[in-house]
Amino acid sequence: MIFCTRIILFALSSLMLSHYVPYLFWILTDAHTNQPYILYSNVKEQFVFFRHGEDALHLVDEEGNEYSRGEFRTITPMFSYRQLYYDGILPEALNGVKLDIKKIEAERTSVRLKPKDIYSPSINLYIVFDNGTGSLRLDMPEDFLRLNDKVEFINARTNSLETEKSQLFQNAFDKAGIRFPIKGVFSNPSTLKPYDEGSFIVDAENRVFHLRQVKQKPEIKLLKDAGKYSKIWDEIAPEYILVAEQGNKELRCAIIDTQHRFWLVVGEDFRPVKVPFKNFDPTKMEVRLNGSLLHVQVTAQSDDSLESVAFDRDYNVKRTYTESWPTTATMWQGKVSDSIFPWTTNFRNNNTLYTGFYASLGNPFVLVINVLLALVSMLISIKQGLWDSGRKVMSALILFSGIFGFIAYWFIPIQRPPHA
Amino acid sequence: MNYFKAIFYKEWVKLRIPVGILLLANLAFALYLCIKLRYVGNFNEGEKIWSGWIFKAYLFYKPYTLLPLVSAMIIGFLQYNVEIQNKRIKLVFHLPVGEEKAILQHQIVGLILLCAITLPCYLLIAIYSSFYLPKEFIVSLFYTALPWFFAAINGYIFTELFLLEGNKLYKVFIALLGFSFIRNLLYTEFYNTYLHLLWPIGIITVALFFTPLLASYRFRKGLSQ
Repeated sequence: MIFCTRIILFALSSLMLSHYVPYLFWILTDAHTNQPYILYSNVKEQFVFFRHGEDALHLVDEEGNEYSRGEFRTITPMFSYRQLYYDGILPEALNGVKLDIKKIEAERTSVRLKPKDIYSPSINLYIVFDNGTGSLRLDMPEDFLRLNDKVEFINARTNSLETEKSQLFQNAFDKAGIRFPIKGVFSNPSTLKPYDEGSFIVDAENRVFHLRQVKQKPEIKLLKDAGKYSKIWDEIAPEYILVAEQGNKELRCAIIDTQHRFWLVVGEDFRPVKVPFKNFDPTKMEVRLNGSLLHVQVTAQSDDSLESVAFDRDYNVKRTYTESWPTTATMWQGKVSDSIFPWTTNFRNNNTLYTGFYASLGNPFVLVINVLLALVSMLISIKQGLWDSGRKVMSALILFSGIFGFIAYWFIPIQRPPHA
Repeated sequence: MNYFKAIFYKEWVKLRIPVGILLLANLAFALYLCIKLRYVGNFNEGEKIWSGWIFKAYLFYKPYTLLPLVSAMIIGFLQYNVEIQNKRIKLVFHLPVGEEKAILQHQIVGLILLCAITLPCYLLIAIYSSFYLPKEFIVSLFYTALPWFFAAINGYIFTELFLLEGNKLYKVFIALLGFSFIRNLLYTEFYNTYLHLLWPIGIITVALFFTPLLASYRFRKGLSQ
């Protein structure tokens, strides 16, 4: 038992050191990367970038041509329209479209989806706004929807089941053919939005339903039947649906399906538009959707790459762009880190709120160092006369735990006096 | 003779007053949080409280993160500091029940007392909040607060390890190890964040429960100098 307790302390120490030693290393070596910010230029008909150089910010296009701030504004009128208007140089028209400041404002959309929004804890209680209250602003409803094995509305003021309303909605669910268990309910619970889009419900058969409450009555629509896109809807099995109401009411929702394809759902008839990303990974990439009077740009960006797609307003692809850049892992700091640390443990991850053991492995070269450290620990222990069964096992474990185990090794209390 | 009962009685006599004070302090704090919830409930509609919890993770019981840990460390300190003084713990080693069993039984008593202090508070928070919040809240409370309870158990174990160990270098190491491990059990930006780690933390906690045997063994063998 005493032997086991030493191994337990050794293992826990190695685990903790695998978090704190690399953390200290990265703080001391001060490694960081600068990520570009991408925009679509309707003037140049290509993508343009804010790029951080070593000395300053560079405003460049795809070919690397550099622009002054003023020039950059003129080639990105949909991004810089306020300044151009203020300076009196906003063009009258562009690509045959009249540029009216009010219209530009009205058609401007901005949506952001981070991995953390998707992969984080949630409670299965949902808000269903009532769209027929006559109030100009959205009021938070008193009740919350629970969809475990049936429809239940729980009144938050009395903390009790609203039997009548639950039955009314249950009947509507049955009539619409929604199959339980429900795989997901997605809505935007904010009251600070221009209007309420309602909720999107994914049922047991991966069908997407649109639920709205109008004057306390449910309105449920199967999206597959809402327009002429039933074949496309058949191939979409949603994993996550983003609902983010925008002023122009064009974007109904955005869907990440189980194959990690990204879809925009637009227009009155819920038209699904596939965004042709090549390597989209929702667990790592943040998605930004920026719409304007002339185009819609969807960008997926991670720590080491970005993909951007520009659509015209009919959602025909105008241009795509892909770029990757070296991360801290490919810099000298990363190479040193991979060569001396057999693994690195993080308990938190920027892409989720869940705490976990997020480990990244070093390169195979680290095994050579591990062997050397194991031998050193063994030789010193023999010399000290402390080569007992505990230290034998710990030396063997240094083959895996490397420098972390080697540090911990000397701090694990000994079991018998030296040379005993 | 039931040695566990005897050890329990010995520890109870030693700790009953501090345990009583800690229980009252914990209960008072839990009650304060419940009263605060009542106050918030009186001035806000239910839907605001619910949406604040569901979407913004306003956890009214979050201030109760550290008190179980502090209580556990106080119990550990009061339980073992006395034993270390004048090496009184050596008497425990000579009990017929055996050194290892005796130490483990002392720890079990400590954990029972820790449960007696903290569980009524969790129960009070759960019962009181069930008047205002749905059953999902109680489940979420369990998953959110369980790591704090594990932190308290580990705080108790590391306090014991720290006190039983005599070597200053090892003492520093144990303190740093305990701090770094327990610190990682107390991040609570949101609810249910430790959901995927509860089993590993539980297993590590059970494993650590036996580590004071090493310190007591070293104490008996005179290695703790």
